[in-house]
This record gives sequence, structure tokens and C-alpha cells, in this order.
Amino acid sequence: MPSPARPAPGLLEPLQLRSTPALIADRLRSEILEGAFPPHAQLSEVELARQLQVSRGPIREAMQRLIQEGLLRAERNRGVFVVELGQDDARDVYLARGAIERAAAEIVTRQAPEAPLRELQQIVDRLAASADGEWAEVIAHDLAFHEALVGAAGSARLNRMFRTLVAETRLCLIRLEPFYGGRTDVVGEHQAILDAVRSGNARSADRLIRLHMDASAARLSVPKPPA
Amino acid sequence: MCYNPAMSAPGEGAAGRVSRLGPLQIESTPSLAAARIRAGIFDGTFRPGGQLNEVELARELGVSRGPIREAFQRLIHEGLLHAERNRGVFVVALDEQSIRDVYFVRDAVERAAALRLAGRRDQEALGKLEKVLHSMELAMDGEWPDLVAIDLEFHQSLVSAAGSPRLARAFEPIYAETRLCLSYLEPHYERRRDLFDEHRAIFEAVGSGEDTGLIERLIREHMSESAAKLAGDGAAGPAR
Repeated sequence: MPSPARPAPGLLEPLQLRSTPALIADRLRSEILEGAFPPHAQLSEVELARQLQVSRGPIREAMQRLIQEGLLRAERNRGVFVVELGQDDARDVYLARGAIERAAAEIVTRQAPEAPLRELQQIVDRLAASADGEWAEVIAHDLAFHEALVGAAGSARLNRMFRTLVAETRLCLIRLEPFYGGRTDVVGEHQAILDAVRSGNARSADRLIRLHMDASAARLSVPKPPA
Repeated sequence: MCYNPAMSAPGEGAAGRVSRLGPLQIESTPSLAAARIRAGIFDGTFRPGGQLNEVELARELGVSRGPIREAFQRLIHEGLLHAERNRGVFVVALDEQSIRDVYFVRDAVERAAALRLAGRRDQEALGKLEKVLHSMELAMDGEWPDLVAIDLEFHQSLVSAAGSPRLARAFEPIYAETRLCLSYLEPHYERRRDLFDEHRAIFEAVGSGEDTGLIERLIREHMSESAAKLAGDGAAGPAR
């Protein structure tokens, strides 16, 4: 979820209010991603307030954040609902991620920050090690790679933008499983991006990220996944 | 907690109100309070670096402190306010690094949007953008804040014309900071015509849609030059 550019814990009253909506948003987000609230399900402010034993203010604020993240959608005079990620949405997620990650890669390629590049390699190694295991673990490493790439650019605002796309990206990744048959592709694509970034080849890094995004969007654009 | 009595129909029980007006209340009192504070920041009532007092604002706006706190959260989220440990809530004064960062992310988002728009050739969206450009030309000799509003509208229209809900969403959180940056830019445009010409060049490149390299270069220059102008000011605040 997006968090403030300058987290400032310790301020007594605002802290209480900041953290409660954030905590509620975290809970709701993981419930949605785990399928506890299926697409089109309606969320009741009153019911949630009762279940979580908080007042409705923080519930509203949490819902507002998840609406911003694209996981919920408010319908005037009807209520708040869980979204269903359609093909257009998936394409759009990858378009926006492409813009953000290519900008990040440009900086990282130029600055070649040592520690973040090492971390990125460790993530790819973990991805390779988990490639034959649970898809959920593959997803976690995949997402970690892109988060680390954006983080390495050191832009607070780019990070914030990326975070608004993380939840939807996870929804896309969940659906991508059938498309990676041998799963070597998923490792190879990330390693290739990292190699280009590390070797200072900005043009190649840019092209590989674009291909990575286009390929994922294209995979999700076919109506039926391969059997 | 932040229930706004002005929004309830007379005679309605609390339960009925909740189920029927629930989602609408998302936009109620905290939203209104945020809008008032936001306007105060842009018109200079609340100066960069100045502290905001929750109790005082609650009294002035005639609401309880809950909605004010929620409004603070929202404006912190937008990057207009920041909270400091054990001290309070303050109006943001964008420093050089933040200004550069605002232009860095705008460059990423707006280049992507411009390329998409150029590829789509959406005549209606282009027409709307041209209208904004025209109003900018008419406002050249007017007040700077009016020009700021039009400048912002141009960039927002450019991003929304791309037809990507997520690029538009990405632009939202930097909208307020962009406006702050633009308000700082006044002393850097001795020839206001330059401001118009920069936007017209971008519009024409996007409208013809033929030279994607040119589109990217113009937007990059527009962003990097603005960032460089403001970065030279040192710790920013509205130059007066």
C-alpha cells in the first residue's frame, strides 16, 4: 500500500489514526488477495467495523486506500465492491509498471549502486531455487525483484507509485502460473534484466523490461490459459 | 466519528442512514476539511514549513478533531503536509531533492502517457488538450496562479488522454506537489511566452504522433529544465 513519503511515527494522536487505517487496509488486502472476498463481493462498512472492533472512520479511510490501489471500487449509492481484474486492466497494470520500472532501471543502470545490485542477484537466485516449488513462492520472489529494482532508484515518489500497483500485480501473477510451463522463463527474464542493468547497458535494460511487461500483458490477454 | 449532520435527511434512523449513505460519507467532512486546508496551502494562507494546529482548525472550520485528523492524513498522503515526531504537523517546504524527484516521476509518467496518446490518435482527447493550450495563451498576461492552474490542467489532460487509468492514478499523488512546484516557478519565466511555446511544442509533437523520439525529448527537456530552474533556488518556498 502507499505510505507517506515521510513516515513520522511517534506523534501521539495522528500515529493512532494513521496506523489503524493502514492496519485495516493490510488485513482487507490480504483477505482479498487470498480470495476470502471474491470479485464483486460487497464490503459493508458497518459489518467490518463490528468484526474488527473499530469505528467506521478508519474503515472508510482503509477502503479509500484500497480504492486507490484498484482493489475496491465505490459505486455511488450502492456501496463498495471487490474489483475483478479484466484483460484491459491487466494490460494497463503492465503499461504503468513499464513506465515506472524503465525510469527506475535508467537510474540504477547509470548509478550501479553496489548493495542493491547484490540484493537483486540474491532475489534472482532465490527465484531460481524456488522455481519448481509453490507458485506462491515464485510470485513473492518475482514481486520482490521488481520492488527492489524500483527501490534501488532511490526515488520516494516512484516507490509510492509502484506500491499502488503491487496488489494488482499480485493478482496478475496469480493468474500467470499456467503460462510458465518449465518456469525457466521466469528466472531467465529476470536474470537478463539484471545482467543488462549491471553491465551498464541502458538501452538493453530498457528493451528487456519492455519485453518482460509486454509478454506478461500478452499472456494475460488470451481468453483461456494453456491446459 | 466524523459524521456530518448536514448530510442526513431529517427523521432517518442511524441504521438506515448508514446503509444508504455509507459510501458517500467517504467524501464528506474529512474531504471538505482537506479541501479547505489544501486551498489555504496553495493560496499562501499556510506558508511552507508552517505548523498546523488541529484544535484551532477544528474550531475555525466548526468540526470535531476527528475529521481534521483524517484530513491531515490525506494531505500527508498527498505530500502537502508532513508529521514530525513529537512536534506536530507541518506544511511541506519542498527541498531540492524533492523537487528533482517530483520532476523525475512526472517525466516517467508523462512520457509514457504521451507516447500512448500519440499511438492512439484520439482526436477528442487531442482537441481537449488543444483547448487547454489555447486558454494558456489567453492567460499569458494574467495572474501567475491562473497560469499555474492551466499548466497543471495541460499535464493532467495529457495523462488522462492516454486512456490508462493506472497512469492517471499514478499522477494523482504528485498532483499537489506539482502545483507547489509550478507556483514556485514564476520568477523563472521572464518571458511567459516561453512557457506557452514549450507546451505547444509538446502538443504538436504528440498530435502529429510521428516522431516518438521527439516527443520523449521534448518532455524530458521540459521536466529537466523546470527542475534545474527550481533546484537553483535552494530551499524552496514561494519566491516573493
